[in-house]
Amino acid sequence: MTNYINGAIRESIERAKMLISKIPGAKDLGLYFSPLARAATTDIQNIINSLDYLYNDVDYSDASNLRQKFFKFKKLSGNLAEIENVVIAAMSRITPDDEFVNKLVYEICSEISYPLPSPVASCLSQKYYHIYAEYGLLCIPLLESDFVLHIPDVYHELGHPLIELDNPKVEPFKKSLGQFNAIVRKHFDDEIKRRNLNKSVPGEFDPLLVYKSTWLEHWSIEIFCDLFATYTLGPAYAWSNIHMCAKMSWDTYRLPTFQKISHPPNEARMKAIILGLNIIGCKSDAEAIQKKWDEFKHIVGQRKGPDFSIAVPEKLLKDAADLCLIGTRNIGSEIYNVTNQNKVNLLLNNSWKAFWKDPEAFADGEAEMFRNFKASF
Amino acid sequence: MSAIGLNANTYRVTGKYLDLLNDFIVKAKVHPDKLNAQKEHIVDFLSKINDESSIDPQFQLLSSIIDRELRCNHEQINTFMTGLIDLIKSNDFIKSIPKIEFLVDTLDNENSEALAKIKGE
Repeated sequence: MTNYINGAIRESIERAKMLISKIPGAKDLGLYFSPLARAATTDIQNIINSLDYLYNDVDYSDASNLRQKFFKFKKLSGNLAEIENVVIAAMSRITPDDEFVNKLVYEICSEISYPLPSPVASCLSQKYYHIYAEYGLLCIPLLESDFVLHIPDVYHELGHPLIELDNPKVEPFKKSLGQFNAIVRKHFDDEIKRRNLNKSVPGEFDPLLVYKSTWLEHWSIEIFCDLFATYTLGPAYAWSNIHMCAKMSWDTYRLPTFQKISHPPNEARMKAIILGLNIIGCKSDAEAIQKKWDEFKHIVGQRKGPDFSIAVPEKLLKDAADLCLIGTRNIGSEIYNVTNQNKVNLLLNNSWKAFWKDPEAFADGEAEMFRNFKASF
Repeated sequence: MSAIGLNANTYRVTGKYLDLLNDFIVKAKVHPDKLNAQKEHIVDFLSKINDESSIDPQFQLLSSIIDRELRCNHEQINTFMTGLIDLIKSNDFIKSIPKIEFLVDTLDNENSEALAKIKGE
């Protein structure tokens, strides 16, 4: 297998070179995708250098280190696959709608004083809204460039790079998340210790361990992104979240059993969002949203299980809301207020107001309203 | 509702320190007498993982992943990390390498799983 790994490395170097040649040129990239192309080229070149180093490195070629050589090869192959599947794929599927969504995302970032460069937006997501923070690539489903009610999800996605990237500008936000995680860890550690004292069977599985790791690895990030969206956009984010739940996720109180799950239960997210709205003074909106959310839960027949408040203590959600507001303020982002006159903010909040004024009539006017909005760019 | 943002974060954070751990294993096997700089670096990394008062979300994530895996083996993260740091400081590489390999396996599994989810597998 020593020959195999060296052959595999050489083949990967050729694949990487081929991948560079697949990056479109200026004409095909258009105005917005050039930074992505430059980043991808640099990263692929770095991977080629690392593969070359691995091929030639004497220590890694020692027979005792064959496993480590395989590990490093696998990791570099993974990095290459990520660029191929994410970045090159996005650049190869540029659509006419990309121009509008890039202008829209830039406008949002300007309005909220986003501390990082505006991400590049691509309009061909097959997996709802999502972002690759490292590449600054935001993927938006195709139809979203013609409809308005889900656009608030862009604000949630903008929260992820604030957590993932190593950049001094986002350190205050990460610090707030870190402080929140420390509270989460202490809360569950204390509860676990208390339960251990009362355990009848030593070594019995405790779901609190799963709740703790799920919070620390996934939920705290999602809740912070929800709160960042709430603080920068306002009530429209909450409405959009209910809209998303109605279409995609009725598991309002879903908890992890033996394995962690990626997203917090919808009830936890909505509670955090509503707490956030109350903190920034949107009390009447918060009440209206709470009422509709309760109606929705009643209609879809979701009931809270006995463990819900153990897995999602209200106090943690309140701590998240307080700390995320501090983090959002400390990175200099604009907090929503009712007198906000920013173009996209007004469009999204007014659209939801118009929707609730007459939900059945909204679709008739949406296309024209959005056409006028697009023309304003 | 996409989990790609979360998986991209896990992929990046778990991948960030794999080279540090792998390079240490390689050097420890071939040149155990020339490890001073790497020793300091790896002890610093392990201490951060073991720091219960850390407010760095990346180390909190890594600590949680390792803690979860150690629990499956009925081990405590604090005991494991303290023991490993002592072994490295005392140049006991025969005993420390399998423990570092355990960390590599743990982070690599999480890294591969996150990448598979990003690619939609």
